Amino acid sequence: MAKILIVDDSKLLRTQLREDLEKGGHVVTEAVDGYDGIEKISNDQFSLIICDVNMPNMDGLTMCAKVRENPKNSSLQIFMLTTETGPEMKARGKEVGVRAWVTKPYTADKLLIAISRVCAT
Amino acid sequence: MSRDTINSIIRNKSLNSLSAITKNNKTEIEETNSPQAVCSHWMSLITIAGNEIKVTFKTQFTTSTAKHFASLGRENKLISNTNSRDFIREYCNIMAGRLKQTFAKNQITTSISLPILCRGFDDLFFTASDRSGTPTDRWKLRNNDFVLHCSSFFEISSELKVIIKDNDANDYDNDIEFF
Repeated sequence: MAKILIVDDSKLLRTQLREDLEKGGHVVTEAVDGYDGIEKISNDQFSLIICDVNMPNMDGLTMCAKVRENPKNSSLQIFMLTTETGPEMKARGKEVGVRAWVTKPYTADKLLIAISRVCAT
Repeated sequence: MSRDTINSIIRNKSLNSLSAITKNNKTEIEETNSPQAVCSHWMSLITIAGNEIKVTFKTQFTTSTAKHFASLGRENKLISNTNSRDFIREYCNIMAGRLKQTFAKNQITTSISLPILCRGFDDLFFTASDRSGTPTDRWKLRNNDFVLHCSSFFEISSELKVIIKDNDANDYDNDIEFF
């Protein structure tokens, strides 16, 4: 069981992802954009962040870079869940320590397998 | 540069994106005879733009249509009105991502805007006139009795030299890449 933070401006996607992750036995918290994500991370401990790239107010890669500035988050696992597939975006993801790049729309089974690969249960 | 080719690519992306997000292959492209810009209560739109090409994709729909398509991808589970409209917004996001990827494979760099959800009736009072050099395509995506009204506007820069080729619809599906 992992404690997972979902960061996405789409309420529907957060709802669907929450349902799929909770069915997989995980505990889920939601954030609506990068600012909300940073606040949630500062107030709680998570095993994994699943984060969109393109969001209003603060995009996902900027959020991840700011999260990594805190040494206590250096080992935090991050998945990007996004429609962006370009090598430049992925390179930026690697720079901020993203562990996996998940292309939307996701498949619940594949995502749960990927989570079990990186998170201790 | 064939505008029909670009129209065809945009239409194909609109269809395969909807099929992917709904996990349903029974949606089909249908021609529209309506000359009017306004087709439904709600509208979602997104822009894919770069130095060489700029595309605005727009879809108009009713809440009942949004609920139909949203429920397809969730084993016909009931979806709220708000989440249903958000589903169409997310659909536009996925469509734009696939179009951006096709452009990238043709060495055309673009960026995607955030998808917007707004009232479809805005087009009623402020009818957009087709500008010279800005082609407009209109079509429908039908699944049973439910229809998304789609349109696209695009502008091509004189710098665009390549002939854009579409890529396989299966290029995108459910990819997870570990770093």
